[in-house]
Amino acid sequence: MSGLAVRIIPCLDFKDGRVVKGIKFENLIDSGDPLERALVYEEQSADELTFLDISATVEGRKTMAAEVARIRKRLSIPITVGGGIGSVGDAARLLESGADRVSVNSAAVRNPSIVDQIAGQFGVQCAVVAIDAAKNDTMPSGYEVKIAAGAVATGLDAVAWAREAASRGAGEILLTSIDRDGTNLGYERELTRRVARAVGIPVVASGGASKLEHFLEGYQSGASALLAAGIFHRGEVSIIEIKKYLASHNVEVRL
Amino acid sequence: MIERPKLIIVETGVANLASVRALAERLDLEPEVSGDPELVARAPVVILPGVGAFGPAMEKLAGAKLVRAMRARVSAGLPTAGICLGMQLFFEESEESPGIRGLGILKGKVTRLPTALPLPQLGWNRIEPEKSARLLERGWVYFANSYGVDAANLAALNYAEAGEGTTSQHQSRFEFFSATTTYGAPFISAIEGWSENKPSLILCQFHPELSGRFGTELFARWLELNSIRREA
Repeated sequence: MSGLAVRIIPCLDFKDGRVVKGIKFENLIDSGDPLERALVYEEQSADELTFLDISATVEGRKTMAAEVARIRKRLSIPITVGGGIGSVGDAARLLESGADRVSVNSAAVRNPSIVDQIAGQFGVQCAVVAIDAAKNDTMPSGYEVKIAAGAVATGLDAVAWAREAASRGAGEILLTSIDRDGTNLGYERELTRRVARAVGIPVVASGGASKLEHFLEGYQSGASALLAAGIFHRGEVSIIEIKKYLASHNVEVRL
Repeated sequence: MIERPKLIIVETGVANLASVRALAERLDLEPEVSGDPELVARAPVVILPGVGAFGPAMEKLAGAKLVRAMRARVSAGLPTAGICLGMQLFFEESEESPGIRGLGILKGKVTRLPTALPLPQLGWNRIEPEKSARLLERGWVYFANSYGVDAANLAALNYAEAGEGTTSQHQSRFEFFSATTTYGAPFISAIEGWSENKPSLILCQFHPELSGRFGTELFARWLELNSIRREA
């Protein structure tokens, strides 16, 4: 047994510095303030937070960095920031603002050496490679990498790409199933299993979790961390509930 | 307004010090990043932060004449902390950067964690302090490391001999207690070094700045025991 707790990670989507997915907490007035939400998740024993920047403008990205800095001052758990990181300079800016890790997605597919550069400059633990994968039976693993928020098929095999990312110095793979994202059907277990087996680094499962059982399935598929967004924001499942459920199935959690 | 005590974060050439700065703020200290050897040698509190690789960090420290400054403040019993890589740098050498000498304040060698589990170890794990530890407490803390000090070094854990600016007196003056963590195999996850009834040295393989309330409280106790900060 590793001793390490499986991590539960709420993901917040930002646009121009504001959280954009519908969020409704009990006993909390929805102020639209990401800091307030981040602190609630920390209090609920979130193991880290992931912020995804979906801003399309330079101004929006600057606002994002400022928000990360503001949240960092108050939050005492790790923050991963992804979305639109196209260069080492972008990564450096976010790390300086207070991100502990940065995740690169499309840019890494277009120019894989960005992974080597981020890992080399800031350490492997800072370099997360986000992979959006969709089922495609013509691929050796059965899954293809898509980029540009799922809009562009790359012809890359998801498992092969994960392996390459790891060999280039990625410290973690954030693995999202495009087929499952937003469906509430649970993590894509086969995808998670195949990628986790292929790489010697932690894999974060993402996309589709809506019930307690899904988190257990994600863990059993080999994921080191389990990410979800909507169900936390809408208050449908609490992080503590998930952890208690996992603990009752002898999974190590931090409670 | 009363001036807050300064906390010097040693410049090791890494970009992401925001979390360590935030820890300082939570502790009501004034963080300042500095590579000035005079300041590092004498400041009331110094943290050697922890991101990057062993070799480049040591080159940076040596180039800025900070090796001697760090050794001097530790041997003077001034409150000094090392976090993650910052802890590893206190030892003699590391498998991560063969041939590069560490600060050599403590005896022992840093090795790659001997496990088939995913590396880096990324996430929350438990620290188990030895019974005689007086500062460290049991709890969950956040790790991001591929290297560490094997628990096999525990028996010989001591001030390194015959280093620059040290004498054999240091060996008897310092008393060390440690905590271990298991990730496949046990490694030393924290060390408290006492001299003259104060835990002047605290080394953490984990990130106290990212370990929630537990990390903040550990450092608050450490500062109080060193008379730097009192409970408000």
